[in-house]
Amino acid sequence: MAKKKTDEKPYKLGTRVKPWGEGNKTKTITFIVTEDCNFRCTYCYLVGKNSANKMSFDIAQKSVDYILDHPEHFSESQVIWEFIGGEPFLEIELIDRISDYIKIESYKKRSDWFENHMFNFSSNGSLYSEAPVQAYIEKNKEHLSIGISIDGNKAKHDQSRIYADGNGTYDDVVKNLPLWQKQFPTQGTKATFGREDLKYLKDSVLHLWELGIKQVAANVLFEDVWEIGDDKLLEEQLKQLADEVIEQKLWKEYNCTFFSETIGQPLRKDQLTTNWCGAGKMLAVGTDGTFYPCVRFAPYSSSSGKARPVGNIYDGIDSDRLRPFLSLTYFAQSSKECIECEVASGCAWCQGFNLDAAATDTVFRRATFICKMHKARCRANEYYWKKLKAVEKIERQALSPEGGKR
Amino acid sequence: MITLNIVLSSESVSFCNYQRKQTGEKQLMAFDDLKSGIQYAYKHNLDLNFIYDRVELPQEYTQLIEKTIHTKIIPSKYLPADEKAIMVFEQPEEVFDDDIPTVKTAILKYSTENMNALSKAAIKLLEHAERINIIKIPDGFDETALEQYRKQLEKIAGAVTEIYDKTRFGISKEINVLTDRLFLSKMNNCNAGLDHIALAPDGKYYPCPAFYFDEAIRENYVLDEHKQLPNQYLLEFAHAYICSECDCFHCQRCVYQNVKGTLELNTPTRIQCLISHTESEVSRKFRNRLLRKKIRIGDKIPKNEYPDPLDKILYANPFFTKKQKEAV
Repeated sequence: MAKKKTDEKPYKLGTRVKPWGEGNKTKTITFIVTEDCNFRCTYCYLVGKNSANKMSFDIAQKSVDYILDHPEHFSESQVIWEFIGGEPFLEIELIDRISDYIKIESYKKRSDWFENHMFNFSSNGSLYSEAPVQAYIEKNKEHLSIGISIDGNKAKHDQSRIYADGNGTYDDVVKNLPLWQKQFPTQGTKATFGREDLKYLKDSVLHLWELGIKQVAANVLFEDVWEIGDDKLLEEQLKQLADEVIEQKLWKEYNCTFFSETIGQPLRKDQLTTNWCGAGKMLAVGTDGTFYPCVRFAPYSSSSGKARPVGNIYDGIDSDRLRPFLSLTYFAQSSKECIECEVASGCAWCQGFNLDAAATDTVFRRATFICKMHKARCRANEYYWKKLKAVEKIERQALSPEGGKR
Repeated sequence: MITLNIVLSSESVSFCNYQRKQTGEKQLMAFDDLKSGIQYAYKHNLDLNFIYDRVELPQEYTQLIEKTIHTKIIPSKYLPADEKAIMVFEQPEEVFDDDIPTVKTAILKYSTENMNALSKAAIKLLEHAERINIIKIPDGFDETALEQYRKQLEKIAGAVTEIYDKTRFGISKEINVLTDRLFLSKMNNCNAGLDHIALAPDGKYYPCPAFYFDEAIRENYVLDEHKQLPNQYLLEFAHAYICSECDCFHCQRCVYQNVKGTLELNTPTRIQCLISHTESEVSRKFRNRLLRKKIRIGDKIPKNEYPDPLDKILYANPFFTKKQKEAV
């Protein structure tokens, strides 16, 4: 039986969100425009936030020139120009100048990217309605994607997403929601869960859906924060959420990445030579023009001090420094236990955090602090899919390890 | 593990893919460290190699060493001459000095600067050694130098062809980068840290002497009490994805050069791959040349379409577009 396409599936919950562009044909280039942020989220991996390091237009210009003048490193037919911080909208004027420069130079150099580009933002949402941000949105709306991070209900959000003075930010962010949803109706949000707010998980996801945000990209922290019993709490919360989803038939329209139709299976042989993370296939540009395989390898996001530059705007990309990332595979960095795990699929990692957490200076060591949490998620998924089948007669459309229908 | 290399001093001859970068005074290995190294080797049934510098050792060192079964790795013109020793010529020019003794194995090092003298030096050295290991000094060798290197290897191949043609039934000359590949059906690499380790003049153990001689990175590569690195698994072939796609079985897979170039023990630089591929290609043509003279040695080496195995990996990746493959 042929595999159904996503839009033909009888459910939304648990399906993979198709990103803009065609996956492998799309290059993501991230400008770290500032290392400053007006929030102090408790779980933020940007341990070196500061107000001193900002990208100058000169650096940005040289970066764009290098990128457009070296198609041998950038042969993808589409590009996502991403602006990140800290909080990127703190530097909206710089971003506006950079974006204009990108468009003009892409046109002048007859780059495919003139038509096939997207400007992308992950914002905390607090500055979204400011006039300069709105002016930028209006100017670039045909090629623009903006995500806002709302962690869940007010209690959950204000516990972790706070100002420097410790006050919660929920009210300031949610007041911008109607405008954001009007301008980006299909956009989703990102929610991160740590130990202290697991108890809010079910209510938070339901709350986000009630706010009209139908796509929730949710994850638990990769860091070594989990303690005995946390996995049980996660599993319980997800099962309760599953009950609500089935009770209210929310699976038709709403999605949350805690649920997946492909999670919890052994790895196929062909998967062993792929990598979970795209580090190395994207490019991040630091405030000083240094290149990184991903923003997570820049100094301001490293708690261990193990940054990994792969070149700079003056000397170009160092292809040899990039080689380890292009040859990173499941097999090369995973323990035997992980490779042979019966529920390995869907177990995630961050390549940058792997370097941070490794005992030595290598990217070839996968951090597995979320092991129990992943297994809890698998058990909750198993519960959900079985119940969906029992109640609604809907089968999970996932592939078995042999490649056929499950 | 098979061998323990004991580096007797900080001025010991550099016999492999590294150069001495020592600052300060010469450091002779402490006698107690030498003794404990030898004891370790005997306890674990390891072969012993001693790496010498040009200065005669103190008598007690010599007396102790001569009580062991070992191989000496010595600089050229080291006295007393020893036929069984491995003699190191740190520059091609050293081969043209007078009074080169006959040895079983010689190591001939070259750099980008003196590469034009490589073939002459190797051909001359073949008169004095049964086997030559040609080793490149890591000094910024790039793809421009690669073509020059290939030409030097082809000249050497020509000379060795003549030798084989003359001797026919008494073939005994070997050159690592030319003849080894003919007799290999799987990877046969240096395996530093796995098959051999080094005891350095500071009394610490390293995967190989190169890590000791590189002061900038030395402290990160000291072996622990089990004589292993914290990330020991990265030394193993199974964890070297790029290498696993390659058939340059003679390649050293030098982990020191890997670290210097890519920051990872298991990942070679592109130029390392291109050099090994060039050597493999010259070996393949060398064998064909011998076949034309009705001399059959070793096994056929398939023509390799991917000089850099990473290209093969990326090309085979179904997630890469045609344009990306063309860019590769």
